[in-house]
Amino acid sequence: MKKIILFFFFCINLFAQSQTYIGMNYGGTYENFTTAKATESSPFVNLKAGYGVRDAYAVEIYFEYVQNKSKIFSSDPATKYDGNKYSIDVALVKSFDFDIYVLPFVKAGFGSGSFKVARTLDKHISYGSFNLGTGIYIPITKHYDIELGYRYKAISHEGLNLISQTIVHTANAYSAYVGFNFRY
Amino acid sequence: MKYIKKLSFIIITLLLNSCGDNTTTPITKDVSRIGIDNGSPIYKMYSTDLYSPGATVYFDDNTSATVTDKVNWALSDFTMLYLSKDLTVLPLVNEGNSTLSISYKSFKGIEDSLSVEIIGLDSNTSWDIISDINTTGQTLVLKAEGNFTDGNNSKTIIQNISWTSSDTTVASISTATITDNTKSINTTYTQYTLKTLIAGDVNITATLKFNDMNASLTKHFTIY
Repeated sequence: MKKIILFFFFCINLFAQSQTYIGMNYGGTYENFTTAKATESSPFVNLKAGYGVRDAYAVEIYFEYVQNKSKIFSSDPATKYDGNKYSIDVALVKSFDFDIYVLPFVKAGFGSGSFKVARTLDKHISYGSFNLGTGIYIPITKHYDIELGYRYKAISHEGLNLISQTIVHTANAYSAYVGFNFRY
Repeated sequence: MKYIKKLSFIIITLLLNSCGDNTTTPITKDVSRIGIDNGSPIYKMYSTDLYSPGATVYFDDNTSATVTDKVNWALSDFTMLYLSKDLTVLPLVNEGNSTLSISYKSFKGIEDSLSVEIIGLDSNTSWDIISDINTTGQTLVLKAEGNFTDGNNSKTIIQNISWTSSDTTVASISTATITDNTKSINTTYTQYTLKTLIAGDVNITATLKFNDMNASLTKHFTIY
């Protein structure tokens, strides 16, 4: 019973201090396929919205755009690159205040995305991902902070249809980014 | 400040790590076309046979794979041919033709077709019961051969034929389903076996039945 009451007060405390925030990240991502010899290196940008306490917890959702400069899935000779990637991710953020001016954080979440391909039977490929991240918030004011981060994504792509079989490709994606957040 | 330096170093290292090559060659082969397994666009089959078609998918790396049970099969004229669930084509007429086609889901262009022409018996009297038996206690697989319009005059009749005995006390007929597993998909047909029981006379009648033909032939046996 004590634990329930303590958890209840903990939630109230968090809710009382919580802020909504929006922001944007820009960075580079390097995707290395585990099922084939292929790599992709692309810039990305994401728009995010979150709710939480900057030096404690937050839940965050972000929409990401990756400019694709690789041709890993498309088989059509007339197609130069696979399509740009669009994804949506949700993450839980835990940050720490060690009184060192910056606030280190860790993130964990999942998401899904899609991109166009030019294949005989597949025109879009969807993918799902689990992600882990870490970084720091550098507070500028009470409302603004800069975010430096690194993120790992385990990606599983939708199976490619060959009629006789379906081939699934998986990849690991490593991203480094810089961004800013506005909290209100 | 010490921590900021360390974190900055880690992030810059990781950022540099994210600068890599972009693969520009597809890692997975793709489907070029599907096709019904046959050397020509026409398949000729006897009206008393069955046909087990196969389908293949061809890839852009010049490899292929069997997809007989993964594509959709269709016939243009169901009064000419019957397509069973186990993908066996059986003629319903003694002479005629129909187009057999395959497709994959609703993908346009992923399709193929084959004209199936039925070679028929050239007349109702051009077939014969070739089985013979004359002593009791024997069994014999009943067999008939036909003369077909392509000039083949000793072709065994397998399908669309049934057998009856005029006196089952003298000779009875049993049936068995035979599986032909020599093709990519197992097919079945009915085999009729005659068993002589006691001495006497018996007429064995074979009946060929199509939508456009119904013929029967009787052979007299004296059992000793």
